[in-house]
This record gives sequence, C-alpha cells and structure tokens, in this order.
Amino acid sequence: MICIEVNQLTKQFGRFTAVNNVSFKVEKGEIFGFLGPNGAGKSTTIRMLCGIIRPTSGSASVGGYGIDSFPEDIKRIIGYMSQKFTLYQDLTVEENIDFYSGIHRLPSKLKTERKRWVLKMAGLMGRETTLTRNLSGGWKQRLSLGCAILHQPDILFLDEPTASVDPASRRDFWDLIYDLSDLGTTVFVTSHYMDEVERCHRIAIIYNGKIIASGSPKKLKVQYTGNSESSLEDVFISAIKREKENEK
Amino acid sequence: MKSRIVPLLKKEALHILRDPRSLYLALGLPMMLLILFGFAITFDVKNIPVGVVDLDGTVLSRDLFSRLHASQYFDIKFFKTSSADVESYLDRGEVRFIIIIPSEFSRDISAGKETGLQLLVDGSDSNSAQVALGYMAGLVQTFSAKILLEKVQRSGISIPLHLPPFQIEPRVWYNPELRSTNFIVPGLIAVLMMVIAAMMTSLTVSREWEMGTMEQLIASPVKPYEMIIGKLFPYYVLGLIQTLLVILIGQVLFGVPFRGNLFFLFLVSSLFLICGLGIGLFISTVSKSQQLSFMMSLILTLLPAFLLSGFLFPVASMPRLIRIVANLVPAKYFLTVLRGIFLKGTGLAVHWQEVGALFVFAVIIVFACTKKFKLSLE
Repeated sequence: MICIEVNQLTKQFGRFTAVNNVSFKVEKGEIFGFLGPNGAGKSTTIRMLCGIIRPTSGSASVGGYGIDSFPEDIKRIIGYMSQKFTLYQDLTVEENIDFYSGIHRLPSKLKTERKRWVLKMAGLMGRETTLTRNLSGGWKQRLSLGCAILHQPDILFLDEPTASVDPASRRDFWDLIYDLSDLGTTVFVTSHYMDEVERCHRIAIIYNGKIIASGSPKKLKVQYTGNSESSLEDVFISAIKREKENEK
Repeated sequence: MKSRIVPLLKKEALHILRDPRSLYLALGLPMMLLILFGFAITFDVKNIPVGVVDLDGTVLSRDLFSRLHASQYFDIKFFKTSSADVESYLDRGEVRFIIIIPSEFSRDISAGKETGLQLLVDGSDSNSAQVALGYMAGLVQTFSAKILLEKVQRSGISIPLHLPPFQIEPRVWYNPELRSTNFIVPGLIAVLMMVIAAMMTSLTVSREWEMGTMEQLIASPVKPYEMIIGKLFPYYVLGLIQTLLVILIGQVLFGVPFRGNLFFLFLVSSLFLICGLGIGLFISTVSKSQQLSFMMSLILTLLPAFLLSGFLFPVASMPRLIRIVANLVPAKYFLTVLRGIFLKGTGLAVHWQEVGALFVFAVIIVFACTKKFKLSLE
C-alpha cells in the first residue's frame, strides 16, 4: 500500500529552486531514507509534506490526503520532528509531554499510558520535573521523538534526527525507529550520515534539489558500483558523478 | 472532544511564570514608566525664575516689584538697579525672563505719557515662555487698571464704575485646580498599555519562531484561531492586572480622581487591550525575530499613541490629513474614554462612539491575525 506519493513536486524561493521536480513513493511500514548533503532540499521536501510550506508546483499525498486540499487531515496522522530541537526549554519533561498530548487531544486514560511509555522509551523515568533545557543532547532528542509520536501517528517525518547526538545515542535511536516500523509506522527520515541510512528499507539520494538515484541500498550498490559489498558512500559519489556527466 | 486551547493556555502561563523578564515587562516596566513620566511631564508653570532690573527706583516701581514678588508664578532670582550684564543670566538659563522697569517709568505715568515695561524673554522653551508671558500680561493689566483708577479718583471725578469694567469669573469643572497631572496620567496609562500590550504578544510569538517551536505547532493540528486565543488570553489577563496597577498608582501616588464606573473601565480596557495585543500578534506574523518585533512594536505603537492620540497635543488642532490618520489610532479613543472615566465620571452613554470604534478595531485586528496566521505558514 502506498503511503506517501510525490509527483513532480517543486519549490522555489524567489529564483532559487530548492526542490526540483521530485517524484517518489513510500510504502506503508517502510523506513524511507532521504540522503543528501546540506542544502540539497531534504528539509524543504519534508516541510512541504508536513504542510508547513506550500509547494510551487506538483502534487503529493500523505496517507491518502492531498497536501493541497487536506493539510488539516494530514496533520492529525503524522508526527514531525524538525531538525532543530523544538521542545519548550523552559518547561519540564512532563509539561512538554502533557502539552503535546493536549494539542493532539488524547483522552485522559491514553494520555497517562502514553506518557509512561514515552518516559520509559526516552529513559527519563524519575526526571519528569527536570527542566528540558537541563537535559543532555541524547535525552532531548529522544524526548523530541517521544513527543512526536505521543499520538501514535501513522507516518513519522524525521528531519536529520541524529544530527547532534553521539554515536551510541544514534544507535539507540535507530533501534527505536526499527521498533516503530515493525509496529506498522511509516518512517520518512532525512540524513547525511551514510552509515545510518544503510539501515533504511529504501533510500533516495537528493542532490541540488533533484533525486538522482533511488532504490534499496543493496540495489543501488549493484547499480552504481557493481558490487553489493561496497559502501553507500561509493554509491553517493558515483551517482553524483553520473549526474554531472548527464548535465553536460 | 477536548479543547486544544486549554493546553495552549497552560503552556503560555508556564512561560510567563518561569520568565521573570516577561513579568517585569508586563507589570514592572509600566509602573516604573508611569511614576517616572507622571512626575516628569507637567504643563503647570509655577515658580518661573525671573530677574528684575529697576532703573526707576520710585514708589510705583517698588509697588510693581512687590506684586511680582507676591505672585506664586514668579520666583525672583535677582533684583538690580542697573541693567549691566543681566543678559548673562538668560544665557546661563538661570532666569526665564528679565523685567526691566525703565528710568522714566514713574515720571511718564504721572505725566500721562505712554510708557512700557521691557521684558527680555528666553524663548527657547516656547511653551513655558508663552505661559509666563500670559501671567505677566495679566499682572501688568491689573496693575495698570489700579493706576488708572487712582488717577481718576485723585482728579475728583467720581464715576460709578469698577475698573476694569468686567472680568471673567471662571468656574473650572472636572479639574478645578487645573492640575496637569490629572490630564497627563490617564493619557499616560493609555500610551503605556498600548505599547506594552503590543510588545508582549509580538515577543512571545517571535520567540516561538526563533526557537523553532512555531514550526512544530504548524505541523500539529492546532488551528489558527486556537493559537490566537492561546496567545491572547494569558496576556489579556496580565494586561488587566497591569491596568489595575497603573490606575491604583494614578490614584494613590498622583491623586488623580476616579469618578467613573469600574465595570465600564473594565469593558473599555478589555477592548483596548485586545487591540494592542492583536497589533503585537500581527507584527509577529511579519517579523520572526524578537529583536525586530521589539523595534516594530515600539515604533508602530509608541509614536502614534504618543503623538496622535491627543495625549500631549489636541487632535482637534492638527492639520486635516494628520487628523484622519489620528482616527486610526486606538489609543486616541481609549484616552478620551479614560479621561472621561477618571475626571468626569462619564459612561457608555457619552462614550458609545469611542467604545464602538475600539470594538471595530478589535474585531478587525483579530480577524486579520487569523487570516495572516494561515498565510504565515509560508
């Protein structure tokens, strides 16, 4: 079942084209990795899909809802974790959780249940009354994830979720993403770390606003380097090389 | 279904309580400014420092001097019998004006010739110079009338006439002592409330933009109107507390009378606060940094509220074009009503037009915010 469908999506900021005619599909329950250097258009794509900004042209649907016509419906079924740490620093762990479950209108019983689940998942049991600004990076990031999935969204958008955390926390974080995917959540994740994108079911490489390669990591390796044992980094480099040759 | 507004309100309340700066901005700053400006801004011209040069040295000139001396409006800094070097007092600003009684003063008057008093006036502060000249003219007129009367009496003619033939008998209403504080303080309250209200909301929203939490809220199912109520209401409550505090200060510290209805005040203040908070909210949809928001709310609210509201300068005597612009300043209406409530004890029956104007403003600004919040997703 197709969960996210993007057709020739384009976003221009003035004369600068951030996302250029991008099309792809994501299956339900899949972990879809969006790989690309900084400024390639990863965040812009995610922000269009989450209804934060409007596309210049093209269309997309998320969970069956068109992003132009039903942005409010999309917002109910997605979870979004932006690149920046966006919890309220002057609120405690518990207050942040309560706020997000409040704006998603969770019923009281579910609210208590989910709060306990998030605290446990993030390893923040016993730290409910700590001000969020006093948490370390890994904790903050797991709490962010927790707040983004309090309402058990069908689709989870993660924008560079591991950009500012240590390698051990990154590994834990990806284990969590796997668990969510096993439970049927579709995960759309952007990253510029090759090693972690390796763990995605399928990836798309975006460069200068265009998708230059997509498929499962294994397929891409064979396609671009002829060797299924080579690294994604090699795939990335050779894909960019081919793209540049095509441009000429 | 549960409301999303409740968690939004709760969150905002926590922000306010945890951030001493916002509490200071909302409560401390207006109190401080009111006390500061309330004492500093005054139109009452009393104890004007003056100097007297008496070149005449007669009974008549002494009589004039003693009248000046007895007046509470003048504070005589020096008395000289020669005019040498007196201008330096004006240069140094030690006196506002110098009265020079010419040497032939008494003789000319006895001879029935025209004579004059010389007045050297420091016009650099034109307003108080004008007021001082007015006092002086009044004093001289009474003095002249007295001389005339004495002359007539001495010549033996008895006329059934009081000199001057008629005088004004003023009965000043609402502010019988003509204290300018009674006029300034209600106006100041309006100006301060406008500025602080706009600043509070514009800062809190632009802080969310800066922190990135606004993006998170946009990606959540929170609707623009919920967002707006969530932002307006907590600061509205804070604004009401602020209003109450500054009004108390006006009464206790400055002795401004309060003759109106407290409920009517609450109603008008509420409308006015919504205008101010709404303007702030609107600013924050344009400006996404706290610094810019601060500057914009200062310029967009302080200047009009200060200059165009009738706070210091009456709107009626402004040029036509400026008067039209002044009609777009909510503080103008609030100020009129506040002065009415404080000094005259008037209510809705008198001020329905101003209340209507504030209501229209409040509706327009909240509507504009709701529209603009949707667009600001871009």
